[in-house]
Amino acid sequence: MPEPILEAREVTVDFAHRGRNAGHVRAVDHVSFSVAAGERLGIVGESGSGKSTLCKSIAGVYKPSSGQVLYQGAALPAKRSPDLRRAIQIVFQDPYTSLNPRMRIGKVLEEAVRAGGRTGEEPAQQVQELLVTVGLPAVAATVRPSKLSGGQRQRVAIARALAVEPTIILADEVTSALDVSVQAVIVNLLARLASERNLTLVFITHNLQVVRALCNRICVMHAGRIVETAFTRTIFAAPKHPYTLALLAAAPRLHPREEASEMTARPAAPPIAAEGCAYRLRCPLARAKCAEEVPPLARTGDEEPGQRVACHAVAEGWEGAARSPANSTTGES
Amino acid sequence: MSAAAVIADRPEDHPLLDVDRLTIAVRTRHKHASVVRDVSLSVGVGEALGIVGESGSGKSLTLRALLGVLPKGTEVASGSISYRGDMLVSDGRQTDRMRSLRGREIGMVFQDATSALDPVIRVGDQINESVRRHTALGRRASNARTIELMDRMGIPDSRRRVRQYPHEFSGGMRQRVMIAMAIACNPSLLLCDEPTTALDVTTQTEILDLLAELRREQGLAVIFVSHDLGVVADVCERVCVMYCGQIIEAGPRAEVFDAPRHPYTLGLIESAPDIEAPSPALVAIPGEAPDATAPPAGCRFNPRCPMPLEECRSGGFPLIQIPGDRATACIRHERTGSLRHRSGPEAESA
Repeated sequence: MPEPILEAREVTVDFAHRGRNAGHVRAVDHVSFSVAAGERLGIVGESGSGKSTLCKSIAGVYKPSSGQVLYQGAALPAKRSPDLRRAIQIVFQDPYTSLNPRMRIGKVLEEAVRAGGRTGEEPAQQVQELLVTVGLPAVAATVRPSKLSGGQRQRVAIARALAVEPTIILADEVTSALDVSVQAVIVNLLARLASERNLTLVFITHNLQVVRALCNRICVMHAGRIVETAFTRTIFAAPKHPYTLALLAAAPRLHPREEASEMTARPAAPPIAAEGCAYRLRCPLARAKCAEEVPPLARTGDEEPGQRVACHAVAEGWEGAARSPANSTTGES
Repeated sequence: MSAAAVIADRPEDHPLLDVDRLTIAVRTRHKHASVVRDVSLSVGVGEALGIVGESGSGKSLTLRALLGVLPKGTEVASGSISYRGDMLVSDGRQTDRMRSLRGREIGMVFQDATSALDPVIRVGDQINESVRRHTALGRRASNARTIELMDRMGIPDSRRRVRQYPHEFSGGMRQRVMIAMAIACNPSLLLCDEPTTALDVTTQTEILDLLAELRREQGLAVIFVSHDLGVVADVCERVCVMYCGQIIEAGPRAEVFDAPRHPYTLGLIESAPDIEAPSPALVAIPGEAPDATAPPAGCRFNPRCPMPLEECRSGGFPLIQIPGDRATACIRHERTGSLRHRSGPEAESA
């Protein structure tokens, strides 16, 4: 694997809460991963899995309670230099709140262009180039966000991130608030920009189908931890973790299958266990060991290259655990 | 209404719900325009009908009109709605039957259970209220019915949770409470407005399974509105596709999703990521959805259509019946299949 451009080492984020039950909530729990330059990594999880917190701690919005984020091999300092801040840009989920309603689009982008510190070209000229890049008409510069649709606003948010010429774009659920046909446009736009500009993309979403269309590698998160990571084709052809299997089984299909998957999560169970494996209460394979020990994210022998799974059942080959691609529920050619 | 419906007068001869050329208008000081135009649909006893469309297509307004709960500023302008042959809306005017059926015969589940529940009233009391409003049960009996409903919805530990407040419930559990309230009086028809959109996928599956179970056991008919084709496919046997305030295609679910006969339906299918599609590439529909109050002339899809003709630019495009119990608004529907390019190169459009 080439030199990673971005690396998380044992990143943990705790949030303190006061009041009667003062203490802390661990949103991200010892998460490690690395991304090579030009890669498109998808981080998938349901609400509360810690995926957005992880994203924001990479962007520098939150400071990790412990662990490190490394950029080009060097740990990111608590106070990042302007160059580092420019290098890693974030695009947020809600294009209705991430743009100032009183600022004209041209102004929004011009401000970003100036922050980029580029000289030479006129800022106005650069704003026009950015609008073309994200597929907006030139007149968009003269309007305020309220005149734009959700998809158009998200294009503006992407243009703003591009204005400072970043190397990494963190996209935090950028298509979740959009209609499916608009989602397709934004996903294709991100894919084109990433390949044209050799951008590294970290795409955070709850939607497995969307990462399949965009990313080459996927981390599946549950309760603050990565429970499985693998190349996209492996996740869809030979998923291993029971939670990944449940997510895949739950994805709505145009042509529903008749029989239900056996790996479907147990309904109405508390989603997260306090100790041991957090998924065990919903897991159809859980045994006593799952309550005692948190399974580490590890290679398990027969897995595809790059695949790592945090599951005792998979590691020890318990009955019912996914073993080889032949057992998988979703096939892909 | 068809000629047969005029002759028949027994309730069982009518469809459960019949909507005929429903038009909904926005009325403000500055404008008066229709947002939903000439929508006709019908649902039989125990049937599940899906209405698919994107935001602004008028799918939710149509659903709300069925229950007479349109938001302020919008109203039924013309058309009629009948329930088992009883007129609820006749020629644009609501009759007094609507109020007596609402809640008792027709229940509704909204998208956002968090804002549909009162945060300062115990969950049990909220369910109890809908039980008591529509039945003659006494306090003890209605309390028992509340617990029974919660058990039936798969809410664990119902005797304790009946005393809790909405904030103590997770999103999925709140949606179960909503469904409990909607079916408290054993309605025959349940209207669902994107009930799973705000939920995680694994929770969504649970709610969809619950709906399927209710349909099986109580013969409940469902009208299910969603932008998610996969979710509609899971619930419904028949689907209507709405675009810009009109139904542009209707028919049995499997046939419509397999071989759409309108370029917009095809566009929706190809832009929706399907987990089992052979190619993961998404194909976008060019352009933006128009405002339903100021639609383009002619076929409303023609500015975005990959195969428009000169005659698509003017005139009306009503649904035409085609074989297989289907209907489409496209005059070139036979050529829709040739537009497929799912496995083709990435098509990104401005």
